[in-house]
Order: sequence, then structure tokens, then C-alpha cells
Amino acid sequence: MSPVRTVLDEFEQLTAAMLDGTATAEDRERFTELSREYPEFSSIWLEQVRLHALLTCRGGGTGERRAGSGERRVGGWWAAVGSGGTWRRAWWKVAAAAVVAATVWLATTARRSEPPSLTLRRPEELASFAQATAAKGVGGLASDSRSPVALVRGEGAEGVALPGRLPGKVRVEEGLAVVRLGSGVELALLGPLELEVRDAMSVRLARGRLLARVPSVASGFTVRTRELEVWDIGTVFGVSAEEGGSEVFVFKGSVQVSEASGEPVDLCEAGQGVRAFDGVRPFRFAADWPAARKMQTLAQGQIAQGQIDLAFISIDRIVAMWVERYVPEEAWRVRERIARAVLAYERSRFPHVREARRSAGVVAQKEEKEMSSTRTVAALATVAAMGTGAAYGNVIDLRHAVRQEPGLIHHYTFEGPQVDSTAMRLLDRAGGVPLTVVGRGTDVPPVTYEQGYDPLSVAGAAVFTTNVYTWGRAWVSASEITLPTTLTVECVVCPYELPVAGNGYVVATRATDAERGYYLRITPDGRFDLQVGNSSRTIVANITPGHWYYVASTFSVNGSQTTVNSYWANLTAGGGLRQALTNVVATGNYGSSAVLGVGVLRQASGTYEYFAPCLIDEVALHSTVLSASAVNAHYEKLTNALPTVEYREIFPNDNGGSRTFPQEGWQAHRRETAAAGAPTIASSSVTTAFEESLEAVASFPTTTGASHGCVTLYGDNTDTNTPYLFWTAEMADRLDVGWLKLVTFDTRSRSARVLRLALRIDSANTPEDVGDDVWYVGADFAKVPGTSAIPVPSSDATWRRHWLDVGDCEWVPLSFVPGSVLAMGESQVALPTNGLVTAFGLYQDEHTVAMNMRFDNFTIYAARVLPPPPKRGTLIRLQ
Amino acid sequence: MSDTKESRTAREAANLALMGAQIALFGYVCALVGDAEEARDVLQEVNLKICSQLDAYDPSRPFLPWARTIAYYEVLSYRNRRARNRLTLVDDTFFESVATAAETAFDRTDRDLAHLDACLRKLPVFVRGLVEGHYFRHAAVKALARQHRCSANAVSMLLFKARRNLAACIQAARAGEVSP
Repeated sequence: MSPVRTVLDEFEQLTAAMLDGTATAEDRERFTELSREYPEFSSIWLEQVRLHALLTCRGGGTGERRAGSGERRVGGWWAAVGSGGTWRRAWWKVAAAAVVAATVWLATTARRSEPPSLTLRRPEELASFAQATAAKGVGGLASDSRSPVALVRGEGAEGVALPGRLPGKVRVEEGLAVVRLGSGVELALLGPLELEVRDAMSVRLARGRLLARVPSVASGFTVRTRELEVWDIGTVFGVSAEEGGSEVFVFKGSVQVSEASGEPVDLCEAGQGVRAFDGVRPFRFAADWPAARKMQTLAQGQIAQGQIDLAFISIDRIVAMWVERYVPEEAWRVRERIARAVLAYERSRFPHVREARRSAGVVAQKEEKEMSSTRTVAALATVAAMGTGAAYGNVIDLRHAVRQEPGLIHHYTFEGPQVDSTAMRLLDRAGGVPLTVVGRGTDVPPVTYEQGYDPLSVAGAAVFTTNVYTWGRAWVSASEITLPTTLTVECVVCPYELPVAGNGYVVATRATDAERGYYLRITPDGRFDLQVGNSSRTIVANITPGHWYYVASTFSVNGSQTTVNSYWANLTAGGGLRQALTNVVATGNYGSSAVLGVGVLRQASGTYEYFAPCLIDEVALHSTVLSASAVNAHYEKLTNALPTVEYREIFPNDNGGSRTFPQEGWQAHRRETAAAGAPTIASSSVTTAFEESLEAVASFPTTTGASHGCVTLYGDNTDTNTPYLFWTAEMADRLDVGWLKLVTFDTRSRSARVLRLALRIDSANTPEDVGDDVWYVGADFAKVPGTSAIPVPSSDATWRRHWLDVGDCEWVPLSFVPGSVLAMGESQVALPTNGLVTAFGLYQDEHTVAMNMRFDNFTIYAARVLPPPPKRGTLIRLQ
Repeated sequence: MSDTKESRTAREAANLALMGAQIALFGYVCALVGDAEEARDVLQEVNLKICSQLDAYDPSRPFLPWARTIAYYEVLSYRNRRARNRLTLVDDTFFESVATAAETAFDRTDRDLAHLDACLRKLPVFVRGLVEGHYFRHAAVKALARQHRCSANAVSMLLFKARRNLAACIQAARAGEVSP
């Protein structure tokens, strides 16, 4: 056990003794010492006192002091101590009335908190319930002894009400209930739901979601919503209705969809659907692009397994992808629905997850055994994966927006080469004060770098040790940073669990003992909070481990007071940005300079404590107070559509031996004269490739799975610091320059080199004439070295993956005419904002013979900005 | 305020509000005083002070923040009256930190009480027995230790952990995440 852990133990023991009435004078003195030394313990004290008060009240009081023992014995909660006087008599009147009031209150509360009268989980319960509801008229709906709506089964279904005759209403408050109509149509009903069954062939969905399985004999079965009418032609389809719109999605067969007015929308087949929003004409959508097809396949599998709730979430994701592109102003509605569905799923399937997390480390050993930590983690991972999905979440756009802020002073993103290039990952992309890894404790593993909020972003994972808050590993700035009097701190963070033995510090400084700048902390009771000087404030009251959050706080120091504003959003659950603190005045300030802790607190004394159990994707510090609208604009970037792979060249070799350029649609030119170069597509017998089986996208050939090929440049004897350009015109004219988001590629080089993204752009709208196109290459000017010109370290054995945010690149023109000139300009120029990318590749500053440069898997990610929604009935395909 | 029917009605309303705020006020005072026994004494003084100032209470504003402000100053008065070596929360930073956090910590005690019974049922049987023994049957910690043949310190720590567990359970129940 570590010494500081003993301190925490001791504080807890003293707190217990204090409240239980067994503390000695020495205990009180020691408690005072510890509270002075560890003000953070105040949260422990407060939590204990709060429960002590509740329990004391619940138990009717702990009574009078026991003579000589320092303890109390049975007595009245409000018993006066000492002899009575006027004020005490007056108090007794109040106290007696208070007890009466509390009794009345408790009685009414008990009534309010009674569980729902119907909880149906097993088939036999449901079967009997179907009869019971019909017989007893539950919900006032049934009057006959038999219901025409037969209950087949249910999962966690509560508040199920069935009609006694038709037409009649079906209600499901929560969970899944499967019913069968007289026509043989089977409806899986996901609560909360209200459905009017008009007859065996016609229903009206007022609210909720249903999945209909319609046998061929029931062809013509009709589902109506407020906006739509769905006429079935023998199929399996889902219908959702909510305030503001409704939706149909077909899994099997086909349906005819009309507006409620009867005007036809279109015929929908498997993988297609219709969405109707308030004020927007119904439009048809199709899962006919790769990500959507995968999601549809997933949904079909979920239906087959009876996971109707998950299937609807999958459909939502398809809709979300589509809406993000075509009806972005309605995207929030879909996101909120997904969030609600995910939360409902989480509550129904993992009811103990949060409690388990919160109770970790303090529950009795027996209970700990009952709670499988592996299961809990798996559950959280599932929920997190469900929540993030792949439809949206664009950290690239956030980074770009952050870098446009004139007051940006420090920016930590953890992006960088995939392998052993920690220095790149820890760069300060704005202020030149990189992070450095710090750790404390025995056998503490290294920090790791993992997928961030979206699949294209990298996050740092701080190492946290349960119950030992002084053990862990995280990051601090390599030197003190200046703390301006106006400050904004932004963070994209995912707590992977809750700390137990004290707060976890996500972003923090402590200039002096009194000057605390705890800009974001995770508390053991599941909150995000902050503290400036002496004042702490809650930002988020109930955080969910496994969810990603965006949190931004602004600070304005005025002498000994600091005005604070805080904003937050649960990116995983959705729900938008909220302002938690508005012009709250805190007592104290954070000082003028300090070492910045990321995932840890660096005390003023220099010790590291309170490692945070979290993934940290982004941390940005601004020397200005960002306005609410500016913060919201940053948050909105995170809701943009995730860029998709528009091009990937995997350089397959097919085990056919090395092949000299030009190959696979790529060419190489070298020297100032742009003579043809001769790299090769290497075979696996010659070298290794980046070991990942990736799919070629829009490149030649389209053979998949050939992961063993790569480009290798050995050079010839004349190559001494010779410039090379590797390029291709594949995908020419198919990408707008404004769509470009991210380029990734893999390298392995025998010597340290620099690679730059090269783009040829047609701004004259003459795609047939490349003569007026202009080449550009990335070049570092004002931004941190490595932002535009990518350093490739020397290593003859290690492959690395590099990321390049195209939006953040700085550029110079490249004079390139094959066989004539290849020269990189020196003056910075702006990349055109409009134009088509007609060619692209990589520019290598220098190459020397035998210093092999290898690269692989050149990939372009883009986010297409597409035209407005189509007219009703028009089927839009994304590619 | 003259003793009109209207003023009597206002006072009665304030009296009722004071009754309803007792749990929250006790928790708040206990948190700041640091000693449950002393807190009871201070609370009575707080109640007296509130009763004497009820005429100044504006019924259109929330009662608890108003009462809490009086309680805060009463606790400060208590601190001044006591020699510092008799105080539990001697350190001013710690005291202020607790005071700040306590401003909202007891705002929902009525709803927390509603969750408490269900959360108690989720405690391990042995621990629940200790909690009920101490708080409901008012058994002293030392008596419980003798009864269960363990040290008073062990009982005390079990009660500590039980309170922490209950806090987590209530927190979850508050958010509607887990039915208590």
C-alpha cells in the first residue's frame, strides 16, 4: 500500500469516527491536519455527512449523549440538549410539526414511488396478462373477455394494454411486446408506443416504433401515421412515429408509401425507406452505399435474433447518414432519437452498469464478486460503440475550427504516426510547449494512443490505478505555460470509468497551493466539475463512463475573483450543447503560470497525483473567452458527417514480382528536370508492406486483400538528395478540393526524410485541359513543423501510418512539367477554395540511392457537400 | 409586519417551510460544523434565529437558500465562539470548500429520502444490519462491535462504506438510471 493511500484510508477512518461519535481529541486534530493538506477530501466529507443526515432522519434521530461515553443513546431526533428555555420550547413546537410533516411527506412519497403495477418479462406472464387485461379492462381499453390482439411474447415489457375489441388501442410503456392480429400479421412493438388497431388489416401508429411481419395472405395490410400511409405487399418493414415526423424502412419485400393525404410517394423495396419531417415533403432514401448496406445487413441480423430495439437503432443510423448529407437541418432530430434509443437500450440491458461503476471499490467483497468487471467493461464498450457509430463525429473539422481561432495558445491532439513517434503525438500544435509523459507508482503500464471520438482521430489513454490516486501515467507540459487572465479550455474526453480514491484531473494547473486551475475533473460520484481557487462547481451531474463528451469552460480573472462559463455535450448520447455555468463568480484564480497537467494534476510542489481514468482526444487552450456561439460552432463541427474514404491505393503486387513504375496508375518523376523515376511495386519476397488488409477504393486494380505490396524506391547511382514526385491522375475530376479532409499513408524509410502532399487543381473548370491546372505541395510556415511537411523518421524495419489534416496545411506552388521541370516554390500560397483535384501524390524532398523509401495505402478522406434534398419520390444514390 | 390575518398566514407558511427544510438544514450545518452532536446544538440556534426573522422572509422567494444563509452565519458565529482547537473543520480552505459544495448538496433531500429505503435493501445483509442497528435502533458503534465480535473501527468503516454505497445508489436513482 502506498503512503498516500494510507492518508486517504486515514481520512476516511477519521470521517467515520467523527460521524459515528467515536472520534478522540487526537482524531479531531489529525482530521484538521489532513483537511488542511488535502482540501480535495472535502467531497468525501460532504458525501458522508449527506448520507449521515439522511439516515439520521430516516431513523428518527440518534438521541442524547451518553454520559461519559461521548456517544448517544436512543432519543428524539429533535431532542434539546441541556435545560429547557423559552427558545427550546418554541423549537419543540416547530419540531413536532416537522415530524408530522415529514411523516405525511414520506407517506405520499411512498405512494409516488410505487413500482408500475405490471411488469411482464416471461412468456407465461405475458400470456396470462393478455387474458387479464382483456378481462379487467386494464387502462380502460378492454371490455370483452378475449382480446383480438394476441400477445405472443415480450422482453422487459411494462405497461402493456390491449384492447378488448376492435377498433381499440394498444399501449406499451416500455420494452418490447410482440402481438399477432387476426390476419396473421405479427407486430413487434417497441415502447413507449401507442397504436390504434382499426381491424385485423389496418393500424394507426400514433407514437413509437413497430416492426411488421406480414404473411402473403395478409398482403394489403396498412399502417398509417400522421404523415404517411404504408400499404404492404407481403414483407417485413419497420415504421416509426414521433412528434415531428415518421418513417418507414423496408427489410424484405416491398411497400407502397403514400402521404396521409393519399398522394403517392413511391414504391419502396428492401433497403429503401421514406422519411417524413414536419414541414418537409416526404422523401425516399436508400441504403445503397457501403456503410449503409453494412448497417442494413446488421439490422437484418438483429431482427433475425429478435433484437428489435437494436435493429431500429441500426435503421436510425442509416437515416442519420442520409439526413446528415441531405437534410442536415433535421439531423438533430435523428440524433436525439438515436440517443434516446441507446439510453433505453442501455437501461434495459445493462441496468447495473452505472451503479457498478459508481460503487466500484466500495461495495462489499461479496457484491464485487457478483459484478463481473469483464462484463461491465464489455457492456460499456457495446454501448459506447452503439452511441458513436460511424455516421458522424468529425474531430478533423473541430481541429480545423479550433485552429482558426486567433486566441489559440496551446493545442494537444495526440495525432501522429502510428508507431513509436511519441514526439509527434505530443506536439503542441499551437504554442510550442509539447507534452511529456509522466508516471508514478510501481509497474504502471505506459500510456497508449487509441481511437478517439471518431475512427479518424487518435486519443491518449491515461493510466489510472483504482484506489491509488497517486499511481498512474499521463502527460504534463514540458515547461510552465503562461495562464492568461482570459482563458478558454476545450476538451473532448471519454471517462472509461470513474475514479475511486479522489478526483481524476483531465486538464489542470496548480500554480500555488491557493491558485488552483482545475479546468476539468472527473469526480468519484460521476460528475464533471471544475475548481478555480477555492470554488468548485459541477459541470455535468451524471456522466456515463464509455461516453464521449465535449466540455468547454471560459475563465475571466479579475483580481481575486474569476468569472466562469461552462458548456458541455454528451457526444455519444446526443442532445446538443448545454450551458452548465453562466457567469458564475468563483473566489480565487489560477495564477499566472504553471505546468499544465493532462490526465493528471501536477501539484504546486511538483508531485503528480489524481490520474484520470479517461481517453483524451483533444485539448485546446485559448487566451480569449470564447463566446457561447463560438463554443457552439466548435461543438457543431463534431456533429458533421464523418469523412469517408474516397480513394485508396493499396499497391497490390499479386506475388508477381517487382514491377517498375509507372504501375497501378501511378507515375514517378525526379530531379529538377522531372525525368521519369523508377520506383517499383515491391513483392513480398523483397520487402514487407504495411500489414493491414485494406480495400482499394476508386483505384486500379480493385483487387482486394493484396496487402503485401508497397512502393519502394531504391534509386540509381545518380540519386543524391534528388527530389521525387510520386503521383497519379486516378480519380481525376471526381473530387472537389473543398471536400478534402484527411490524407493518410504508411511509410518505412531507411533514412529520415520529408514527404509532402501534392495536389493538382483545376480552378478554371476545364477538366479536359490539364495545361492550366496548378500543382501545390504542403510546406510548413507559421504552423508547427510537421503540420504540412510530414517528417518520416529513419527506420529500416518499422512501418508507420501518417495523418495529414488537409484543411490545416500550408502550401507552396510546385512547378512540374514531366520531362521538363520539377521545382518546389518558396513562397506560401493559399490553396484554391474551389476547383477539382485532377491529380495527387507525394513529394519527397530528397532521395539518395540505397536509402530505401517505401510507402503504402495512400488514402484520401473527404466529406462531400451535396445538393439539397431531392424532390419527393426521387431516389438519390450517393455514388 | 402587523399581526394581521395576512401576516399570520405568511408566518404559518414560513413555519411549514421551516419544518420541511429541517433535514437539509441539519445536513448543511453538520457538514460545516463537522461534528454531529455539535451540529444539533447549532441547528437549534439556527432554528431560533430563523423563527425570529420569519417576518423578514419574502414568501415569493425560495425558503431554503434564505434559511441556509442564516445557517451559514450561525455556523460562522459558532466558529468564532469556539476555540479553534475545538473545531473540526479548522482549516479555512477546507471549510470554504465544504461550504461551497454544501450549498446545493442538500437541495434534494426529500427526493433522496424517497430513494433511501430501496437503496438500503441493496446493501449486503450484514452491512444493512449494522446501518439499521446504528441509525434506526440507535445502537452505539461500540455496542455493535461487541455484538458482532469485531473492533469498533471495523464497524465504523463498514458504516462509512455503507454510506458511500448508498450515496452512489441514490445518485443513480436520482438520474433515473437505475431503479432503486
